[in-house]
Amino acid sequence: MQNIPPKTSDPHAALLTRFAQGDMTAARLLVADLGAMTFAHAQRLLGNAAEAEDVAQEAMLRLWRIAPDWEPDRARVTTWLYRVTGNLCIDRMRKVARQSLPLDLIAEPVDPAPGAEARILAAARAQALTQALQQLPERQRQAVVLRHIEGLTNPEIAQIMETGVEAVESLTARGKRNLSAGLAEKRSALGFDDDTTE
Amino acid sequence: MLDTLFEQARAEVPELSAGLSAAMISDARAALPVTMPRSFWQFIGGVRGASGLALATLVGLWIGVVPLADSASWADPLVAFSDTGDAEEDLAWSDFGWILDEG
Repeated sequence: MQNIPPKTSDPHAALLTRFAQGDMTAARLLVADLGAMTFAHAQRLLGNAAEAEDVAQEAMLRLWRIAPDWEPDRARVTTWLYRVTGNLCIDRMRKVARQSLPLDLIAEPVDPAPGAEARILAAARAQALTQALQQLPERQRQAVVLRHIEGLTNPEIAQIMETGVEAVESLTARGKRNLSAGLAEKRSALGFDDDTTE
Repeated sequence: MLDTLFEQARAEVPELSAGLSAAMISDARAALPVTMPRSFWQFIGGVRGASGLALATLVGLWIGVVPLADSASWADPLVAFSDTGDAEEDLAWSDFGWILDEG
């Protein structure tokens, strides 16, 4: 008799249950979706692809191990994975603070062809944001990335960071202020001379 | 300025490499719990396993039950005894001719 996965509104929980029953197709789908999400989030938090790969693989490994015991009513899989990824990243951030590991610096393309200027500017902006994020305290960085880059809501972020919604609002507000202060001197170089909005 | 930078960051999603994807899938396979077969049918491997067993059984029966058509068969040299009527030739078969050569 086939094990029928419990009804759940979380599609990832259903896939995780199928994986726990031996379905490797479910595992591949989870990697394509959640593995990609985890890596992208780690990359944005750490600014280093190699470190992000280690974190993402470790986070997914923990997901595979918890699969047989996963309770769909406990939390959404994405919430749990964001939380694990964030905690692993914070551990890495503390190691970076001690060892001063280098960030991935985006090399400026030297292509003089039309359109290259826009690409150079985009690369410079991405690098500036990455560097500015790395200057933020860990929790502010996590809150800002979850809110303004991953696009999650404050209640979702509160669940991930295991704190209150007001604390999340405070962290994101302070994080944005610190980012603005850190990027102020690069405003002109990043092509924001005429941009009066933040 | 920040809104523009955030918008660009949202649009540029870091991609999962093929190597990392393969590593995650490999981890998943290794993490699968080992389960006991739920039925005898599953234990023998389903249709494929059953058909292999059936074929092996038939071949074994054929080897054991069906008599050989010719007694002086290809297996005789391996058995080391033959009945050719020629004692010297029979001895050669049994000793591979070594003793005779040395004698």
